[in-house]
Amino acid sequence: MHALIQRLWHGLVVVAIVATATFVLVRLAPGDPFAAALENARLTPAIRAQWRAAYGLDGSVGTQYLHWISSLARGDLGFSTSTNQPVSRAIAQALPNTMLLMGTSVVIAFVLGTMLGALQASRRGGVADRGIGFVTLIGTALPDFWLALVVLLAGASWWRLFPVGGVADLLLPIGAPWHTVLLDHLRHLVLPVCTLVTLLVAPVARLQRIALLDRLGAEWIRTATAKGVAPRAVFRRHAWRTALGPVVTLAGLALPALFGGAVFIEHVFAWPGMGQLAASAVAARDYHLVVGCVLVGTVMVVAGSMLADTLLERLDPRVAHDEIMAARSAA
Amino acid sequence: MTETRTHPNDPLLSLRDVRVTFRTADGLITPVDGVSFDIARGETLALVGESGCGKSLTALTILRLIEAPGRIEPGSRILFDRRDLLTVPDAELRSIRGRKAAMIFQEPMTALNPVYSAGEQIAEVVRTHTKASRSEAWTQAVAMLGAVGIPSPEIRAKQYPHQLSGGMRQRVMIAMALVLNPSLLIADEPTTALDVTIQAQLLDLLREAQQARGASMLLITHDLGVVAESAQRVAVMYAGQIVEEAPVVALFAAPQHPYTEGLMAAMPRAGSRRERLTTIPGTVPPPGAWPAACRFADRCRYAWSRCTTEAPPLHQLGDGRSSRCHLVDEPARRVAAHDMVGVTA
Amino acid sequence: MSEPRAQRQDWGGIMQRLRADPRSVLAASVLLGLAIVVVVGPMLLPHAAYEQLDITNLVHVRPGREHLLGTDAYSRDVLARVVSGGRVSLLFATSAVLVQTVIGIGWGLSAGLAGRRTETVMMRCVDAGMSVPRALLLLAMLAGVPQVPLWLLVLMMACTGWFVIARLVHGEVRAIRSAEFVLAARALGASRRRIALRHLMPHVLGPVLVSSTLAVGQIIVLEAGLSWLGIGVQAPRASWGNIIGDGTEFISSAPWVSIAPGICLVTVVLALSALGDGLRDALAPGQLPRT
Repeated sequence: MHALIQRLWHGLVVVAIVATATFVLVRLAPGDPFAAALENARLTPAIRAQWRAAYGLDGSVGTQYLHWISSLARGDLGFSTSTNQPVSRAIAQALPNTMLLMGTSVVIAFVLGTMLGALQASRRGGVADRGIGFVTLIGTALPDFWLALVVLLAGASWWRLFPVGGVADLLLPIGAPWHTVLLDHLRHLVLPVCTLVTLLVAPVARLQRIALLDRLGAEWIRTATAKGVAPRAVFRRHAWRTALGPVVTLAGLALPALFGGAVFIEHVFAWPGMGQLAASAVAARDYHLVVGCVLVGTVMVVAGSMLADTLLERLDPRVAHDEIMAARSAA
Repeated sequence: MTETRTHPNDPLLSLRDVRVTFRTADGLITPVDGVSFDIARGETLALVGESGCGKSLTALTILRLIEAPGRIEPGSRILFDRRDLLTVPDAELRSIRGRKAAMIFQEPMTALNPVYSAGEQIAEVVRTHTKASRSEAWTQAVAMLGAVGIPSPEIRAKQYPHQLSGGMRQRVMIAMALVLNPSLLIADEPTTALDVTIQAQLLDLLREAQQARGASMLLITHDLGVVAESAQRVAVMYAGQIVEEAPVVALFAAPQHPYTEGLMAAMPRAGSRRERLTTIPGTVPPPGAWPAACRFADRCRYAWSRCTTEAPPLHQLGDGRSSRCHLVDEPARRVAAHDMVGVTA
Repeated sequence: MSEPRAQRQDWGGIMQRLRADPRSVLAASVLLGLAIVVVVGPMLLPHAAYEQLDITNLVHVRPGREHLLGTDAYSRDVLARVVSGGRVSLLFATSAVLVQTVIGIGWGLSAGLAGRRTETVMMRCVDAGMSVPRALLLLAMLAGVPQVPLWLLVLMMACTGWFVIARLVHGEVRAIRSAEFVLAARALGASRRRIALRHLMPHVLGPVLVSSTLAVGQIIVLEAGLSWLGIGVQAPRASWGNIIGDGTEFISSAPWVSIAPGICLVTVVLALSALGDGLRDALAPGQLPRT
């Protein structure tokens, strides 16, 4: 319980620091935040002044900061000039798509990755080990946006199996049966998920292999064998089970990169998630939207890390809160 | 040459000419080189020697726990209850491990799995060998923890190894070994990593448990004090070979082999007025660098020319004693002790 | 782990081990070869990277004898652009890593030697930095400025990437600061800065080198991504990223524009990973690699 409270506090501090940093960022941005909106001739100076007041831009830096923090606490992330709606609403619409994409990919990648790593470790030095090792090595070096392009090219252009982008077919009739809709959604999910899974499986498999090989030399393995436990059960219960911890730690540490990579992949597949939102917001100079994405992304990462830490604690009872922190700094 | 034994006809465990080789970067080494001994039912044999003499490896051979790059050479025989453990099929070996013959390792912090509780690890032995359900196995585990002297066993059973003290962890290991009432216990330096006070407690525990079950025990140790406490017979090992074997009292009263003599002289004794501890000059040679002929010759105070040219066989001395030394043939040499010449410190 | 010793790193031994490792040698050769190509290439190649050769006839020519990698939508020779882009991408990444390493070492050392409270605050900032998705942060920084000069982009990249090094250095400093030789130095009156420079730095340089090598690869890919989106390196200056960006629209009709720089990216990152692994092994022989 104490560990949970400590973790929550730590997460809160991190988010507060990021909120402050984004405030500084927004203030530092040259020009008026409403510069894009300024082109809109319909906005009279009076309205602009009104907006400024509403955003507290006419106060001192201190008041502005307080205004910023209190807005954030209320969930008010500002107004998005490029999509003409509150930032929070724009993100709320986009976030579930990102979560769907990432959630599916992460689950598949971790299941596949741990199995591959375990296979490699159990057949150390053999053909399977070296073959998979080679593939995963390449996998860790692939740039995300480039792989997405290649996958799109292969899947949608050369083989014409999958749609070119988007989350669903907009032309599907409204009353279409649920299974058609589901199938359509799945078809759209395949290519982006394949891309993300390929990128994620590589480091997971590599880490799992190393962690497992390390555990296989442990003394408790010999004790288990001396107790008469069958070799497969020894591998599963005593080696693999103790080698899952590092993989979970990796999951926690890779979250920021995951959200970052989503930007490029969503852009390639025209997937209407938060990454895509951020990318188009930059082009439209919609600061508030971009900053909103940064904040929400950070909160997601912090939440995910806490989840990973909790899972790690269940998996490896030795890991007390302090040790979690130490593990993070080591990787 | 087969060496006849003067032991009861039906020993529980019988090692014959056990040889273990390791393939290293520098070639093949033989850390266990022709070890033979018997353990009768209900008896405790202590296997004594310094680090590096091969005693732990010998213990591991019994349950076939030697792994590549090591291997147990063909020609070795390990008879347990008249079955040769080196040739039985895997399934049978697995049914013996943990159930009929159990091992207690030296360092419980690393020998116990850190992610399972004490109770779970003991229950694992039960469920591997019997058809007990989870709750039945758990109950047995808790009962066993109580039997080895752990207070509040229901609570301790749920705890993890890192939450237990060193002594308690070792009790857990002992509980794991005893739970299915094995007829042979192999204890590899079970108390070396612990405090002296705890040592005494655990040795008592082992002895009582063993006697209550009529089990035999092979006790590996480098500490002669432990030997005196717990064993009926002793085998002294040096450089991969048994150099002396004797009943405990006889060994302490009159050691035959110069190495054993040296070991005893090196033991600090309360009430002794000596100012310096006696040591055996030189160091134990590593397995790749064993001298030809007698392996102890370069550290022995009685050595003469024969010792560096002819390897002494293990002479049987009657009354259950044996010694691997030429002094058995030429006892007159014993009085002509000399200072070490050419021995590296 | 045993008590850290006050010794200079055995650079001689490290170099020896590196040279003996075939994987590291291969990686280093590849990188060196690439560096030579991008430096010398533009002088040897027949076409320039910016030259629009014949905007009607030479658009999207397939790879052939005249243009080894074909031409792009603006009839520029792709090979020339890839070589020029390589120069930009590699230089960019190297300078960004240098800056971020300096920042990170400075921050980590200061935090490690500072008082408890300052240290906690400083390291919380590092935690915060590590929690923000780097690409999103860069997007936020770039949102305000339309055309970012290259040096500013380098700075921005460095400002978003020093956290890992800071954490690393801080960890090492913490491990060592209560070591006996440091206490001895302090007892002799050595100032904190002196201790930092003479005793801590050698210890820290090894892991920092490994981390930085891998960081170069990460930054190359990140910069490529941003350039691909159009917000990194700006046209007409070539970077592998924006070449891929130019080719994205025509990925089915003229895939060679995007594929070539992509392969270069993969090769460089692979080489850097291999070199990083090799360095790690050379620095700590016999130790199980961390990832």
